[in-house]
Amino acid sequence: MVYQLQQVSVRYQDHHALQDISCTIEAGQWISVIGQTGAGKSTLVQVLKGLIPLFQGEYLVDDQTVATDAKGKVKVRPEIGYVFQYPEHQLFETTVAKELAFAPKQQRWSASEIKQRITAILPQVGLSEDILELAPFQLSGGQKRRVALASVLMMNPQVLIVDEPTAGLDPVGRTDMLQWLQQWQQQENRTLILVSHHMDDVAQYSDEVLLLHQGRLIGQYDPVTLFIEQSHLLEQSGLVLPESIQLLKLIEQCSGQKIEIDSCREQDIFAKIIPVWHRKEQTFG
Amino acid sequence: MANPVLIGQYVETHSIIHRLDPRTKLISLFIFMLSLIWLNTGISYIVASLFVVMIVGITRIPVVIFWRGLIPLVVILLFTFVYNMLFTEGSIIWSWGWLHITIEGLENGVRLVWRIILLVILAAILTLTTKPLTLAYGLEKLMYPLGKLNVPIEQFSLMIVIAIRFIPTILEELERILLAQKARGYDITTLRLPQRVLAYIPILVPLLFMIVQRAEHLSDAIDARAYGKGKGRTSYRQLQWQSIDYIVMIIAILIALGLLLLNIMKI
Repeated sequence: MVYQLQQVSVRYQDHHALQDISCTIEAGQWISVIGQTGAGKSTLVQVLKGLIPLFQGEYLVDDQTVATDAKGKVKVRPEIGYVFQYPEHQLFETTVAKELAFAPKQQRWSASEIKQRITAILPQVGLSEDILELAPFQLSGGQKRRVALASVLMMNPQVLIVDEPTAGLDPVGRTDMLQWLQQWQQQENRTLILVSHHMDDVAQYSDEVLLLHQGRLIGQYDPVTLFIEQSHLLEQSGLVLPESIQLLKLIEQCSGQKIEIDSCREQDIFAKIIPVWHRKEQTFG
Repeated sequence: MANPVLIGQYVETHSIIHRLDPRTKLISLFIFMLSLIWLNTGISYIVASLFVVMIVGITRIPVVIFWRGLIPLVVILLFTFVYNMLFTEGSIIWSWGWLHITIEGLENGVRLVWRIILLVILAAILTLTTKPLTLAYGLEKLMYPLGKLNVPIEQFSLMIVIAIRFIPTILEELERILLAQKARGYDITTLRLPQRVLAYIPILVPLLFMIVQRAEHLSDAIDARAYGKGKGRTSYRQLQWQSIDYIVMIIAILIALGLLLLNIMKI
């Protein structure tokens, strides 16, 4: 499915949270939404999910306009899964089993279907069935986050929105989470929308990047265009370059040589800069 | 999060009532509310109502906000009216089995409901025109003499301030949970009222858990800043009586005395 926003604005009481946003979300891609705090990242993804009414503009799915009511509300899109920031704070059921069954019950799945799905999902997110009868509050922070993720994956979403999924995780947990998301997105050929402040993660995983600043969309770019060719836009939006790109620029400066890159993934950048660095070392001893 | 204006939430209109010392508002409203309890005659009700309408006008707060504050009380008001109408002795105008409607019952019902509405509007005037923390500070200052009797005024005041500070946090958490439910296909706002009330019950568990957790963190933070170890707390902002405060208090006392007089003289 292709999701499009055309000149969409969102208002919260007396201020515009989003202004005149037009963008396209193609199927099967990893799209990252970046911007400073308060730039409108979470609002944008909530609009896509159908949680927030539009003040102006149009929302299209596969070129069909999504109907809005008088208040600009659209129907919540069931095929889009949404994992909120600090998802563990949004666990509300009394047991993990009930938490996982919440959304399927709304869709009137049978008990056996729910059980089957739970059995399939739990190992995918690295959880065992022993926790099913525990209260979510009894779990560790990491387990809670996995339960929250599993509860969204229960509905087998075509698009998964993850709002700052690594907030509050240690570096190992952060890498684990992102690698798991990438594996899921690629294996299942799904669309993933990541909201993030971490430019390193964005550069590492994204196919496309939406850059927001003060409620406006600066642009929709592929990572190489944004981080290499248009990097001034990041600075203008109050963001910093990924560390690997900073290193690349430093080595370019030291060696006086322009390094051509076609991917912003850390391993690809290192593969390009290490030979240049070695040559420079040999030249100057 | 897009919270609508909450019932009783501070609304800034820069009116003269907003600028009054919180102690003036507390004292004046207390005196005037006391005088409402004595209301008995029709004229006294009209005078009191006109006075309340006048204050509402001075606040420049849209009437719809006061109206919104009354909506949750409709059931209580209705119950009060029906109870008085059916169970007051007097001249019966309609009866069915053991149920009797009397003229005195109808009068009592209307009076009581009217009195409650006036009291609620007055309370709303206080909260709509005074910032919660200013109100708590005013309350602390008014209770200051009790401190001499070893009543822990400072702790009491801190308690109120923390309670007020927690209201938006709780609402934010509640909204998060509701949004998480909506994202998973369950929109509580589309339910009818009785079902909606029932649907809120399971949410109370995680909400209470969150509140207790936050309260624990806060008490640790307060302890970490050595609360209660040194001399009494001082305040950055000091309250000062202005001439307008004295004028307002005198007017409140005069109106209260006037209402008392009207009721004594049965006018």
